[in-house]
Amino acid sequence: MNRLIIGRYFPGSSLIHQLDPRFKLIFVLYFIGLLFFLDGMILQGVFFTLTLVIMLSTGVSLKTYVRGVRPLIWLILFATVLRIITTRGGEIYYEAGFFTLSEFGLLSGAYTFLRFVEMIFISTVLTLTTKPIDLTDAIYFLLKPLRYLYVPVEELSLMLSIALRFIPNLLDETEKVMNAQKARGMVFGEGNLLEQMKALTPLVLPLFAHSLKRAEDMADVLEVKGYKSGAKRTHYRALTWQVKDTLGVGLLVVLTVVVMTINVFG
Amino acid sequence: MHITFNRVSANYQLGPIKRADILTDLSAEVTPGSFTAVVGPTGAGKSSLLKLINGLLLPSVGEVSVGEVVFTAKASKQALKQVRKRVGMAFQFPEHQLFAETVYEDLAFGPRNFNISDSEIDTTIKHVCQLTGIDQSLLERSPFSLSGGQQRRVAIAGILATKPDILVLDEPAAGLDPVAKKQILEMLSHLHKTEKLTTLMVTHDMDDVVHYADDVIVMAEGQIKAHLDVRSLFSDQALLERYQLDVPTALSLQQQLEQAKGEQLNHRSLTLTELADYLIEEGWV
Ligand SMILES: Nc1ncnc2c1ncn2[C@@H]1O[C@H](COP(=O)(O)OP(=O)(O)O)[C@@H](O)[C@H]1O
Ligand SMILES: [Mg+2]
Repeated sequence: MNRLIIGRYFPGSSLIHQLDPRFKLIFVLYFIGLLFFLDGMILQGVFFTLTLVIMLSTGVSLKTYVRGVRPLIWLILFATVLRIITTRGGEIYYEAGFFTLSEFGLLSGAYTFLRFVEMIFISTVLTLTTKPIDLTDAIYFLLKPLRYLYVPVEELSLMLSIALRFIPNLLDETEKVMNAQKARGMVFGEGNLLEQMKALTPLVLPLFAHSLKRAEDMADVLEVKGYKSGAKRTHYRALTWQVKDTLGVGLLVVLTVVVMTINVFG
Repeated sequence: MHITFNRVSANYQLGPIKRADILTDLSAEVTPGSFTAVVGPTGAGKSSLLKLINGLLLPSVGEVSVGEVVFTAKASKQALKQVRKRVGMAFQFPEHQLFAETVYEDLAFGPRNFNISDSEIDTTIKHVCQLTGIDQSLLERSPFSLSGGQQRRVAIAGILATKPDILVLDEPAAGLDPVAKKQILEMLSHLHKTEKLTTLMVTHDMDDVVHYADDVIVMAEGQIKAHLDVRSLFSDQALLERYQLDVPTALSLQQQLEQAKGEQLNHRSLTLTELADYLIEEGWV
């Protein structure tokens, strides 16, 4: 549970840390979108370099990011291999029925691999440098227009921020319960898959029981404090849009133009 | 069973971040059959010290030995299993570990992990229920349906069910009402005496230290600052002040009386009976 880096916040004061979370969220979503339009080696190179530059400017070591990719590596390799064997074109090195190993296949396999890694890296940058609570505010901001479609945006964002707020507690509790059961002779991660699943009961059940209890308390507190859904609300934490953020939007525009130009004329 | 810490340092290595040592250069020895209290401010490393005893935290430097098993930075699975069977460990709020459908099943969880036969488990459960004052009628109930005090008993019984020689308790009475608290501590003290369990207990309550412990380990900033018997601890005013330790109710009362009277008594009383006798003897009342 300690290995998954994505979703963890590292306090810091880098430029990336200081950016408006709304901008960062938009940037990441847009950047990931652009990754699907990259044509040719030059653009791939540019985006990979840009991703690296952004990652390094957060002040978090490269090793940390690489560790973040590790849990997902099998998924990535699966997609890559699938891509390689199903694409044909250019020089063909080997062929056996459905399976081909071709020049284009290898190239697009490499692109797929890069795209996945960049996606993970750039989302990791977002969560590493943005407090979960700021991220919720940013999501709320982006979802706000949905209010006109009668989507309960306020409630959704409250739910999200409560959920995020309790993740660290849940992690702490998991560790505690795990220790307590280990002390009673439990060994985790031994035996076949079924045995391992069964072994989770002594861990998951107490966590459930405790979370339900806490949810009840939380509901009581909301009730007592007079929380009413649908009421008009102001915000305690105000997000501030700065010049840096506008410059960032400029970068996005430039990137879009470059990608489009190369796609059309390249 | 002997517990020895030999120049132990330890940290919680977490993912990519190299952590500073939480415990530094600890050396201590706990004699078999003793009742040792562990005191010190929050964050001093008391809970971490307890985790060293059954290998939930391993030393980065130095070694911990429990009986004939020795832990260093690396520990074999067998060593861990062996020690965890010998050491019963109750964490803070041990009732959070309850999970089974019935109290009986929960009590059987520990012994089953150590491959003890069903018939033996049955006898052991009857025995620990008696020791911990759990009524037989509760055995078929769900642990979640019990009161806080009862849950705590069941959790502690579940730890005793593996028949440990060493009992390690992290604030076993925290969060209970005064009556339940007294019952639990009396029960633990009784267990310590009748079953000859070597006991270590973290507590913030100095009256508990006086009532139950033989000696005290004082921790602060991840180090063992002192290891001495109860009376020496409360005679050492400088030590108490340096680590901001409370004093037992009786001693605090005595100090207030001394201040009001502007006179200092030689002997420091630790219990109220002792104080009463002493004040009469000195002619203060
Ligand atoms: N599981 C853990 N992971 C990382 N750090 C921890 C963990 N548990 C405790 N610590 C740190 O170790 C230090 C000592 O904690 P602890 O042993 O719980 O002290 P005490 O029980 O005396 O309050 C604290 O600074 C705490 O933040
Ligand atoms: Mg503690």
